[in-house]
Amino acid sequence: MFFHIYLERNMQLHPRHFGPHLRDKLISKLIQDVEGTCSGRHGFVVAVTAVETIGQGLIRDGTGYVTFPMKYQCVVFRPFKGEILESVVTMVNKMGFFAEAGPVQIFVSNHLIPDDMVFQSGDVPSYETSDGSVRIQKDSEVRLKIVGTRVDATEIFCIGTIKDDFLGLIGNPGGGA
Amino acid sequence: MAGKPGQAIEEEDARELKLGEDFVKAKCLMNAEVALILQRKYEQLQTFSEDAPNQISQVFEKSLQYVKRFSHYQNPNAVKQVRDVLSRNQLAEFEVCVIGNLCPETVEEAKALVPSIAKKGRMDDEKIEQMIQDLATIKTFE
Amino acid sequence: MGYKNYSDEEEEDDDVEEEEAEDVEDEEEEVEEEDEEEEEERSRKRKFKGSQFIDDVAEEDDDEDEEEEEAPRKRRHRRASEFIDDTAAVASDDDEEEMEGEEDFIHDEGPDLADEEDRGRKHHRAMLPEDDQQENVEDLEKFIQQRYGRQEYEEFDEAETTDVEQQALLPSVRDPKLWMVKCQIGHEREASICLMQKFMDMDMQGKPLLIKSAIALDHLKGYLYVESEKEAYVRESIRGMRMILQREVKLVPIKEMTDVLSVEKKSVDIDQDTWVRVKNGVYKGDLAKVVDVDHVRQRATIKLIPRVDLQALALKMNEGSIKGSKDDAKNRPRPAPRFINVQELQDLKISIERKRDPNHAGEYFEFFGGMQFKDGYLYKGVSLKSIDSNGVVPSFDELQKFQKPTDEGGPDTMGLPTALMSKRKGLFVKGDAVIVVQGDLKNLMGYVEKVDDDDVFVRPKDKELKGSTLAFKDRQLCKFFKTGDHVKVVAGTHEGATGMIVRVDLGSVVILSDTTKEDIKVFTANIVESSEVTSGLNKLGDYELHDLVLLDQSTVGVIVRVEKDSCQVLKGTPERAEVVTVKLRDMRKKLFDRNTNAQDRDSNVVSLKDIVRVVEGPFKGREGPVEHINRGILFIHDRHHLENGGFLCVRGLWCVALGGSRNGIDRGGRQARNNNFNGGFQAPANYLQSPRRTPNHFNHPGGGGGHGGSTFGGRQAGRRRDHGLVGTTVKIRIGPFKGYRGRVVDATDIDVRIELESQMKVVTVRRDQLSDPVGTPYHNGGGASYRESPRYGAGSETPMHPSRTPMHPAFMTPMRDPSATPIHDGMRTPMRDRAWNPHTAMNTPLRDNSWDDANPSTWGHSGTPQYQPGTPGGRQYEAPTPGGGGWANTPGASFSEAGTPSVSTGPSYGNPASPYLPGTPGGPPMTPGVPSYLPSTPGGQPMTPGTGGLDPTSPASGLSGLEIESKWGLPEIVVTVRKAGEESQIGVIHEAMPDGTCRVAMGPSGEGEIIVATHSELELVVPKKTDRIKIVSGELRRSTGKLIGIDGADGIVKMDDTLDIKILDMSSLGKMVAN
Repeated sequence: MFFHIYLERNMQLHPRHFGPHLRDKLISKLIQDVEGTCSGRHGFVVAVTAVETIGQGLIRDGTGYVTFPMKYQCVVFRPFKGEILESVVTMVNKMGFFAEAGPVQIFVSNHLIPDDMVFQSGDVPSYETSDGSVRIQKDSEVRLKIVGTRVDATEIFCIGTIKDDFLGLIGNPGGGA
Repeated sequence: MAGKPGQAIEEEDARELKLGEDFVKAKCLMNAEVALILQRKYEQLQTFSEDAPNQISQVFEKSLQYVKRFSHYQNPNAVKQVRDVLSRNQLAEFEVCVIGNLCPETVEEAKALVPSIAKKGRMDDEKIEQMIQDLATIKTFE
Repeated sequence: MGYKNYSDEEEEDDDVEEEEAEDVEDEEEEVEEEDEEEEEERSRKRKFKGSQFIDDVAEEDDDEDEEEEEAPRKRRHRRASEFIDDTAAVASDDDEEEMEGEEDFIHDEGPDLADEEDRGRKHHRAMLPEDDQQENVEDLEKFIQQRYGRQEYEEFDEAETTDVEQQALLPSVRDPKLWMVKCQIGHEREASICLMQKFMDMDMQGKPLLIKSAIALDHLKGYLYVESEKEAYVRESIRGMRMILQREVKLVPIKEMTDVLSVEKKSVDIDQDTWVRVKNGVYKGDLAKVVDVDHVRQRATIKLIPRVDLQALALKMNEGSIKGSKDDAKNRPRPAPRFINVQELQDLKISIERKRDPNHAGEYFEFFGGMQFKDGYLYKGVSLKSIDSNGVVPSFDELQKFQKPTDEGGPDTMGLPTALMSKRKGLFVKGDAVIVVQGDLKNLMGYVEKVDDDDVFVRPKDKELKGSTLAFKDRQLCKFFKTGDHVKVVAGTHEGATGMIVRVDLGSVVILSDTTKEDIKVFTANIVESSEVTSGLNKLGDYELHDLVLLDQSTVGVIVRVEKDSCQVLKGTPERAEVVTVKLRDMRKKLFDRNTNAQDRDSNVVSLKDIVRVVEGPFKGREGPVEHINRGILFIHDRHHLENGGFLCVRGLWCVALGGSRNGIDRGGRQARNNNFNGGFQAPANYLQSPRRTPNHFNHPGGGGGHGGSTFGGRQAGRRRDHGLVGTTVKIRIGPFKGYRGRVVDATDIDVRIELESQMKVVTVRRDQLSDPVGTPYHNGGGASYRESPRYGAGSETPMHPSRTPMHPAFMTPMRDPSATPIHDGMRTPMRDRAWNPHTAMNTPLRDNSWDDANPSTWGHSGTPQYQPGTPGGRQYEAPTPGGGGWANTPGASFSEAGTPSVSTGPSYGNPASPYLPGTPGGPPMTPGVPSYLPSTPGGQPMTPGTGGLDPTSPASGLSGLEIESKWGLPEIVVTVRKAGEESQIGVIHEAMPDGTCRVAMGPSGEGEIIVATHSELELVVPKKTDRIKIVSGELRRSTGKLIGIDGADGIVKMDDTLDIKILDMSSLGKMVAN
């Protein structure tokens, strides 16, 4: 789920940037620094939308760098356990399939795929029901539920399931569900 | 295992609206809203930045692609209406957005996707039905 | 002197001599050979035998004095003949005091030894008072001689001394004895308990039994030990006891007493549901489950997967031939374990009897062939001795096999984990989620609150029970996990792995491993919840996961997965992802990436941890940080790549460097840098070709010149391969291959690999071991090692050319210089200087111009960004940020940077203020005669992304640009003056002085005071659109124009004189003061 939240960060700036464009500098550096990052707590920082306040700078002893506390608003993407979302299948293998929902990668293990769907290898590997009515392959759109998240320094990895009511395929690359 | 006092930290579960203190009061965004924000930012970058493609983080790019693909409403007005409709029902931010993103078509589906709405008689089926219809209407007239 | 002594001794020894006669005979041969020594030898023998201690000592001393050469022989002799002598000799080597001690001790122990000689003497010595130590030594001596003269000393076992303390604890004659009593087999324990009871009862009655203890040993069937002073007491105590056979009471010898009670390795309790392995027989090693245990009879009923050869059995039963079947059984291969199928049995016409077994709660069993079966399992009664329960941890596979396919989810499924758990104390930790698997509260869920010795206190999850805490045995509980939990495996084959649960069965779970993205099946008992992320095994020998290893001479790879005794290695083959399984021994060594760099498509430096995007090849589109670099091949870790642990192997040339906050910034600069590089690199090569006809050779200097001062220039030098040398023939000067000649197949600046002419083999030789042409060391001062390689190249081509040394004037053609200068920045030695002089003289006025006030600023600038990748931290911010930020890199700003010491630490061309630099002969290219200059101008400039024009044109311009870095100042240009310790001010250059300083009129329009500033204190003011500009670098220097547009780092300029529209690097444009 995307959120719009307030975050704070202390930005360090080299004194050479001081001048009329100090604020711009800080903001552009903030954007450089935080956009695209990920933390377990706040998820992926997708975009900084506004800078609320820039506090007073504090010179750091010994370096001459100045630290500015900044409060900013940003769009983050944070997956939650139990969350239901839609995603695009990126890879299918016999272990299950990977899907992406925005920046987050979700793996749906074959244990978490309904038992009536079987892995079909071939040029376009897929999971298919025996009657072929439902077919999950690369680029399919799938609605899934996140059952587990793992956070490491640079990403959040999720495990999802489609073994529940109203979950599963919602659209195929060729169109049609 | 250290720092896992078992039940002391309540495990997050979106289905019960347990999102942790950082997010429980945060403003959620529907995909459609995110799409508007990101798209605008993207265009800004394109205009003002000499090397826009390099400025854009992977996260941004993927998010933008994702929300464009999965927003059910494109029209900014429609997005606003959707939020109005959903907000009328005293839904939590998170619930609003889940429904807004997934657009359930039936009451059962809505309840399955957002189990918290049906809890403790917050909304009866009729209300849910009404809400779903409202959303469908917006979609039609978008 | 020796002889004298000797004779004395002989006298003393006379009486003994006769006794020793036989001994002497043995030695006759030697005696004959060495007459003189014979006698002495003899006497020695006698003396030792005679055990006259004092004499021995005396003689030993003498011996050593006078017959040193004789010593070895004697020793050997003695050793061979008699051990005693040896001991004596050793003793005699000791000093006087010790001798005394020895004697005392023997004396002391005298009386005791009389009756107990076989016991350790020291032991007794310790117990005896040593008060008569001061006794007359001589008396003692006599006494000893008399009494123990013949005593053998073998008993002085050296080891004994160390055991003194232990021995003191051992039973002695004074201690109560141990009696062995026979009793009924299987009732040993019972009997001992009864004895204890009797002892207590009798004690109460006031007539205590005079026994000390009674012991029954598990391993000794039918006997009981009773400790007591006398046999009578024992008999007394066992009288009337049914299970003890009254007649047999045997004394346990003192020596054996300790053995009786020595503790055996503690055996694990075998209990119902314990997993065991069969120790012998057909089922040896097989996993079995204990169904029933009879501890008294030491028997157990175990449940096994039958290994029954039904065919043979059927045959046997039908024929009834029992004879010879035993032999058959031995010869037959061991039948595979297989569940028994009743249907099958019937088909084979094996008669089955189906009846209840009273031993097992009256359940029905199938009996055939003398065996008992149930549900396809074999139930077998075995002795507890024949099964091993110690450390039996069945693997998942085994358990799965043990599970009959049909009874999935049956009671056994439940049994598996619980059985395992029961053995592992401390399995549960506070906070664990558990589920009750046995007892009334089965399926109750809760959290572990507290763990005791036996009990686990659980707080139920159930709301109704909330607040209460229930105690369970740990075997009643099973850890509870949900799908999606992140766990770590703490035991078993997958120990250490972490992952998320994708499936939960009762007792086991399936985990999706974090690193391999594979399924792992583990028992819930073996996992704990954890947020840690590891890959399980990540170390094999000295190798760790993700290490770069050398597989053979030319192949490297990255370990992408570690298995038990091998690794999976992604080979360094960029064309395709090739993963090989490599055993530990097949890995040559671990490679460390030290300062390795590679170049990307745009010839940017790519170093470790840089983020690159693959733009060509099979992995196009992937991106990630560079984890390893080897010979231009990058190993990239793309976490979205699912194979090979996310590792990709690509060529550096297939990638473009980009990156997070670090490199994302300076794209303009980077671009320019590329151009510089390209310009510099290609150009000199081209233009040196003709004069030198060895492009190879100059390639490098050229390259160095081109990007002189850039990171490639110096940093990378150490690892750089010198292709200039490759293919040449060299001679090895020293080392094992001295004198050999060979062809160079590969060369770095340290080593050269040479294919020897005389042998079909390739050897690696240090450069300095090569003979002159190649190996001449270049001691011309602080040059980066990089410099050496090209030189080597040069040397190898024209070995005899003496002019390789930089000071050789002949070499200092204008052409040579430009290329050389940048590399040699570090060495502005006087010689260097001199070398240049002829040069400068050659300068045409025009050139002079270019030197004196030509626009080195651009170069100062272009140098700067090049440093950035190499300069750790701190510099990134100055790079242009999106939007207006692009201007942060005004030439001026960078220029001032260039002057800071931090920059000059780089290997580069350093200080703009250097007086020598202006003389850098970049001149020739500046001649207007070269039309292609125009496009090339911006080439020098870092801010220009697309100044490809330079590359094909004049190489020298690139070079010249590189070299000229100071003295860009031109009149009328608006600059920012930054004097140390002062605020920066705007000024206008009034006059550029030939000495490299400028007279600057302060104030935006130059109306203020005039100061003198060096170039390092000046920065160009970046012109804005519509500003009038003056070009400060390139061949258009001094030209003026109007800036009509800005495109990134490029400025669109309308020239004043020609009215042409030029696209020039912004950094080469100086704003002109408004008139």
